[in-house]
Amino acid sequence: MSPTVAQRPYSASAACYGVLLVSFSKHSHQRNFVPLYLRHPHIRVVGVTDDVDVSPQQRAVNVQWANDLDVPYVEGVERGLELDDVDIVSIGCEIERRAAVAELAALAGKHLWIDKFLGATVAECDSVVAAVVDAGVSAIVPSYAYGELVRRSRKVLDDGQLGELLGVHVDIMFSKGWPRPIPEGDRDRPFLPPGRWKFPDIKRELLTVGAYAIGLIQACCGPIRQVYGHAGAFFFPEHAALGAEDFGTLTMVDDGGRTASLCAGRIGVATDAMGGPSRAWLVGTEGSALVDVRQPAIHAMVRRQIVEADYAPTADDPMQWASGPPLLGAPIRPDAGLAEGLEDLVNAIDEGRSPHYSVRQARDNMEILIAGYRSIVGGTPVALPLSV
Amino acid sequence: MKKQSALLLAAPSQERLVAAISRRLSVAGVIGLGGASRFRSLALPVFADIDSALAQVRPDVVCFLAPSSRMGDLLRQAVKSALPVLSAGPPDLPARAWRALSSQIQLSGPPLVWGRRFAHSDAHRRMMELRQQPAVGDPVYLRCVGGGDGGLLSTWWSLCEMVEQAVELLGADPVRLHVSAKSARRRCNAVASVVMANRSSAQLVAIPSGFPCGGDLTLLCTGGLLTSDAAFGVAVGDRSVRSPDYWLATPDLAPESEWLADFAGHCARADDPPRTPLSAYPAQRALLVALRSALRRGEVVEARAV
Repeated sequence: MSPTVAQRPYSASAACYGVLLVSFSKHSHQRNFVPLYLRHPHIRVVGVTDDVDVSPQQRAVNVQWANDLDVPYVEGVERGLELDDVDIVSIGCEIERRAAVAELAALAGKHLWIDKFLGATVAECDSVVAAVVDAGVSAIVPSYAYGELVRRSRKVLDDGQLGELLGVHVDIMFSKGWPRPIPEGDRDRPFLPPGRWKFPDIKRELLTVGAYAIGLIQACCGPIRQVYGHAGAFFFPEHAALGAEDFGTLTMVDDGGRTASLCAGRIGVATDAMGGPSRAWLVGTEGSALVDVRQPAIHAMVRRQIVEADYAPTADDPMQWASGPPLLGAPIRPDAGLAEGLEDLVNAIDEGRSPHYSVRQARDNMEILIAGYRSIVGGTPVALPLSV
Repeated sequence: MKKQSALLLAAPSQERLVAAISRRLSVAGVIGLGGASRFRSLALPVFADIDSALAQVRPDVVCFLAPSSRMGDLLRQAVKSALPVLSAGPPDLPARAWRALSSQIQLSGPPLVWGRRFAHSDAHRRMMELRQQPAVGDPVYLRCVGGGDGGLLSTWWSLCEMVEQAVELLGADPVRLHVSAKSARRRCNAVASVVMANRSSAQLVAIPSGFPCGGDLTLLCTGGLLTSDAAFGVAVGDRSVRSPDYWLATPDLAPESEWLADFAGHCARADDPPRTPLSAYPAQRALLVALRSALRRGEVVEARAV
C-alpha cells in the first residue's frame, strides 16, 4: 500500500498545485494515481479525505494512505476542501458518490481529476458538467483518451492514409480474475438493468472495460446516435448470480452513419500473454489499419515462470481490480496514458482551458454505455440522445 | 484422373488469386468483371459471359470468385449448359427468379454450391482443432474480419461466409442478427452482430480491402482465447505486394484453390459435393435486405428470417 516514491520536495519557486485525494475506495484507481502525483514536478499531495459516514474499513484504508503520504486525513469532504493549498481534487470514491463530490469540489473552485465515471446516471453526469461549467474550473476524466490505443489510432487517422473513415472496431479484454463454472440455475437470470454499479465483489464489466473502447470511438467518430448491445455472464458465478455481465458487445452508428463495434470484458487470467487484447480496426475508403497496442513486443517465455507457475489472485483482490497476473512479455512502447492526462490537466489549469477529454466527453461516454445496457435489456437498438 | 477445368468469374483485383488457382487445376478462361481490358496481364482467355466462353472452351465447372449484377443470367446459362457452379457467395435474385432457379436445380439441374471457402482454410481447421480441446471450454464470442472489393454484393458475400464460419466456430445457429454499415466512394464497411442459440455472440466485420475473408479471427471461450494472425505476411513467391524491401514470408494460405479443386473433384466423380442447402438462401437474402436498409438509413437494422 505504501507509495514507492517519496514526494518531491516542495519548491516555492515553481508553480505547484496541491491535490486533495478523496477516498481510496477499492472501486477506484486512486492508488494508481498517487505515483503520478508524486513524480510530477508541479504537483504535491496535500491531504486525504472522505465522507464522515464511510465504513470503518474504508476509513482505515484512507488513514493508512494519509499516514504513508505524510499528509492529514480530514473527516468530511467539505472540511477537506477547506485545507490550505487545495487546487485539484482527485476523486476516487464509488460511482454512486462521485457526482456529489465533484459538484461540491467544483463549487469550491477546485479543479477536478475524476476516476472514470462522473456519476451513476446521465442526470448525475449532466449535473457535474453544469457545475464545472458554472465554476469555470478544469476537469479531466483521464482514463479514456490519452492512452496508447487512442494516440496511435489518432495518428493513423491524421496521416490521412485511410481516406474517409467508415468504421472503428475495438476489442479490449482484461485477462484478470479466476473464472469458475457458472451454476446452471444462474445462466438465464434476467439481465440486471443499468443504474446500480457498486457491488462488494463484482464490477459491471461492459461499463468498466467498455468505457475505454468508447473513449477511442469518441476520438475517431462523430456523436453516437444508436446503440445495440448484447452481454452476459460467462466466466464468473458472482456476476451470473446477480444477472450482471462479465462480457459484452456493443454495435453503434454515429451521426455520419459510421459504424463502430466493441467487445469488452474480464475474461480470466492466462488468456493472453500481455494482459488481454487491446486492438482496433480502423476502416476507411482508401485502406484499413489494425492498431494493436500489444505489438510490437518483447515476448518472454521463461521456463521456470511457466512450469513452476502456482498462481492465483490474492484473496483480497480476487477479480484483480488493483492487480494483474504475471505477463509473458511486454509491449515495447509502454502506455503512459495517465501521465499524459495529468500533463494535460496541469497545462489546462495553467492556460485556463478545458482538458482535451473533459467531463462533457465523459458524460457522453456514460450515456452511450447506459444506452447499451438498455438495448441489452430490451433486445433492440436504442437511439441517442437518451430521454433522461 | 484428368485435371479438372474451371471457368472463373473474377474481378480485376483477383488476378493473383486466379494465377494461384491455375497452379492447382486447369483454368479454361475467365469471365472478367469490368471487361477484358482490365485483365491484360492474365495469360488466360477472357470472356464476356458463359455462352461466349462455351463457344471456345469446355470447362468442367464454373466458379464465381466475385459477385456480379449479371449473376442471375450467368447462372441460367450454366444450368442450361448443365455446368456445376461453385460460388463464393449466394446469388442476388428476386424471389420469383430464385424460386424458378431453385426449382430447376432441385428437379434435375447441376450442382449449385456457394460459400464455405473457410472450410478449406488451414487457419480455420487449426482453430477448430484447438477449439475441441476440453480445456478451451464453451464458446463465448467471435470477432472475425474479412475483406472484399468494397461493393455491396461483395460485402454481403463476406458477411454470409463469416456467419457460416461463426456457426462452426461457436457451435450454434444464429437466433438474432443485426447489421450496421457505412459506404462512401463505393467502399463499404459493415458489421453483423450475431447472437447464437447457445448465448455466444459474434461481431463479423467486412472491410473494403483485399484482406482475406476470415483473415483475422479472435475466438473467446470460457477456458481461453484463440487468435489467428494468418493474414499478415506476404506469401512466398509473391513479389507484387512487398514494400519496402523486407517482409514476413508466409505460405500461401488462400483457401480458394483447395475449395475449387475439392468441388471439381466431387463433380468429376459424380458423387455429391457438399451442397449449400437451398433453404439457407432466405436468411442470407434477409441479410442483404438488412444491409441495404442499414446503408440507406444509417442505423442498426435487424435481419429478419434469421
